[in-house]
Amino acid sequence: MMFRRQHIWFRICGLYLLVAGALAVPANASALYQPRPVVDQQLKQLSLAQLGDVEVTTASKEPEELWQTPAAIAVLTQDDIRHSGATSIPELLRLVPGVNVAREQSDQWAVGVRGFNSQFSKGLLVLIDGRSVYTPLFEGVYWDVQDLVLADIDRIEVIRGPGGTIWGANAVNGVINIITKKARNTQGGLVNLDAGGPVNRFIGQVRWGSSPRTNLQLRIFAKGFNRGAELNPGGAPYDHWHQERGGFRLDWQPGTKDNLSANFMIYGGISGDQTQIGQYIPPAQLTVDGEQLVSGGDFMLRWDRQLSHGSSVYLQGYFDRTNRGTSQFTETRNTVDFDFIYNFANLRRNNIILGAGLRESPSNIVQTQATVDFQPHQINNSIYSLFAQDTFQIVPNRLAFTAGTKLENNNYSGWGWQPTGRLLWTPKQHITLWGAVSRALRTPGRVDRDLSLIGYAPGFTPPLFVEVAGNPHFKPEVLIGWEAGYRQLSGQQFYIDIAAFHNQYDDLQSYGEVTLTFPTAPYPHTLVTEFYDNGLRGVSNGVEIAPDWKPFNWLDLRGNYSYLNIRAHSKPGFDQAAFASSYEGSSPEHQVSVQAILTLRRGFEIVPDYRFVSSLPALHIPLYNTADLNVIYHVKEHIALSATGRNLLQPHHQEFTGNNSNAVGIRRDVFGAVNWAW
Amino acid sequence: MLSAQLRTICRIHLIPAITCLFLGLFAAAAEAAAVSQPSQSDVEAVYLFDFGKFVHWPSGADQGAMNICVAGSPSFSSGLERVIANEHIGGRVLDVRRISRADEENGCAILFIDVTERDHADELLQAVADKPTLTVSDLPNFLSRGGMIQFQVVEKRVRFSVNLDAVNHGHLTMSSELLKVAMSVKGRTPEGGAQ
Repeated sequence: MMFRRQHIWFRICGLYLLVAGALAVPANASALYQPRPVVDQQLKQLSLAQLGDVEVTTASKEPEELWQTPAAIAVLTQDDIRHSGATSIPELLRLVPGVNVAREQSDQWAVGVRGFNSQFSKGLLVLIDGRSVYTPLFEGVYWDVQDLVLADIDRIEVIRGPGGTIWGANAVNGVINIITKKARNTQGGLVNLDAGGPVNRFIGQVRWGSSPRTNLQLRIFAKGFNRGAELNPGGAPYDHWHQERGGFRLDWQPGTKDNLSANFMIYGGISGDQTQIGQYIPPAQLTVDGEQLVSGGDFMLRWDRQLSHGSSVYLQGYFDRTNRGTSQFTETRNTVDFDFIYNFANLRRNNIILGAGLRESPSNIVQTQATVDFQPHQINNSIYSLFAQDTFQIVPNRLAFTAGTKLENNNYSGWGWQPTGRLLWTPKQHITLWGAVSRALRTPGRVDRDLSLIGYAPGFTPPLFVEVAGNPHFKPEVLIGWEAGYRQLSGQQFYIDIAAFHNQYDDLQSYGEVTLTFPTAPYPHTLVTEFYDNGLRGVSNGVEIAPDWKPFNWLDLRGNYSYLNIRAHSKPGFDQAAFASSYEGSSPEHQVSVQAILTLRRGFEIVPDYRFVSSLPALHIPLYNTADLNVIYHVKEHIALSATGRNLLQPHHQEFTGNNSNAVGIRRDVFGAVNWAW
Repeated sequence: MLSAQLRTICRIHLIPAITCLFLGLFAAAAEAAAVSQPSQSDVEAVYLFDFGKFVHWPSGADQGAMNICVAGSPSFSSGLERVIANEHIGGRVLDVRRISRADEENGCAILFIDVTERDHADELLQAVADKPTLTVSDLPNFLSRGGMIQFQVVEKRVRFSVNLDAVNHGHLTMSSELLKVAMSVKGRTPEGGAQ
């Protein structure tokens, strides 16, 4: 049966190749000699102003500044976003080397950089237009509420490795910077509708941009989606999800040197969730099917001023509110943040950046379960910081040394230093070698300090409960990171980016002291409490290799391979082998992805990709490989249709274990989209 | 373990379908010719041609063939040759000259310094410092090094900035139309008004 089907496929395939091949050869030859003057003549018809509005292909995929960056950085452009067919930000990050992306369930992700991956990945800082979306609740990012109209994203910069000097605490393993387009670049309307199944059921995105005056631009947008459940091997599917959001952006240029922007967004959504919760009466460990209600919003004002000779200054302030109600607890958080950066570029050999920031982020927990609590219920997570960095051109345009440090204070652990030293060597144009050593801190969060999470262990009399508790003496985790990298563009066609690192961690989170108590309420029982502590040290080593080859102007082949090895061990006085092995075995040792971008005639773009992720022994997740395919057809200038298949190689596969400790199957998904922009 | 995985994959009937599709697409792609999105150099070459129309040279330097000199990048100059082929500006014939050394710059109405010539830029600028030559480059910091027009790619679009002090120093005048389109203009017009 199976053989017969394959046989038919190969025959159809063979026939198709024969026909396509016959057409291919002569057409390709003519392409080689396609007269370029056609393009020149068209350009010559344009006015000067129109010429400045022509979109051009750039020599390398990477922007020019990248050659001057002594860090492992990758940039996803709007084209990369469009080509990927991804419908969420974490899915986009799968294209970046060194980033570990695993879907736990429909609405939950584990996203880490260079390891230490979990749903609550610590030490990965994420910013959207300069607004931190990292929550001090568990020192990580709630990816389910980080969404945008994807067509309005200008670029996503992913910096692997410590970035604490500029970005501040918790930029330990990496920083993800999501930057949306200026309102000037989103003029006109956009309607994007996606529908399919079984998972991505419906996504609707609309945006409208206008320029009421020449120095004032606006866009308003809305997005909503309804997503089906992934496959639950242990029972009925539970992770249905819908979410809606909307907002605006206003850019105003009062003079030629100033830009003021205002950003506003609100959202709300509900997802199905399954959580394990301890119960006193009667004593039980329940698997609760509940709902997670999220809502929030933010408002940001930012002022940018260009000074002479490339110097610049910016000041921004934002308010961000998040509400999250789960089966376990409810948290409301209001964050107010101000940041100031001054960049002195007009010095002869030095480029000095100075910055200051302050953030107040009061959090309020409402206890909804007797076995889950944070004490105190209300606390203000605050950060005050100063930083200074200088890049000195030892040999102008050839060799530069960067040194700087951040000095930061937070409400839990006080002041901390995060210095860096970086050397950049550009022996020739389009060849860069760099090396760096940096110190970064992962500061304590509410979970490390304030949590009380109690579970029931059946089979004992009197009843036995086990508690995981925050520790008021929990210290920051410390990283000393050593990095080196190499980038080269050869002959406009072949680009390669290689980065290697050796990270030394100290005071990593583990359990520590264990206490045995015999509470009498609500009835006499035994309580074993494990307190969080800084009981581990660790070392991680890795290499990321990302080639990009454009053999023809219609073909772009991109690949990346990431190797990662983490070893953790207990500090003297601790015995935390289990915790250590969870660090070691929760991130893939090998990751490979290959993507081909085919830009064809008659408005077709075809983008297949393939990825391989090695096993996660600590979570009993086997290795997997799968593939996606995105076909885009530009019907007219303003209308594009696309068909996308994701996770095509198997009906479903597991990527990570969620917080019901049962790994759902991430399903094959097929959907079509209409994109109308005018 | 890997081979087991491969066997699993091969058992799935979707594979031949996808393989076929991919192979087919590659073959079909061969049929596709260049997508006619211009390159940065294409646009810069047309800009140079346009600058010839919007810049006025002092008398004595406004006669005869208008030489556009290109330092670096042979592919840029051949592109520029195609742009200006059979073109005239104000009765002047256009000509492209490739130069490789600073002492060859004689008689350049426009001098384009390619980004690859970054090490020789100062030397080239020095050589034309007191001559009526419009200096243009896509080098970063070109204006602060004394150049007149600097190209910059901003959001995939080629834009330019002008250093009027340098333009005045070379006794050139620019039409307001050109200055209006410039991304930024530094320096003063000879009348003394700030731009």
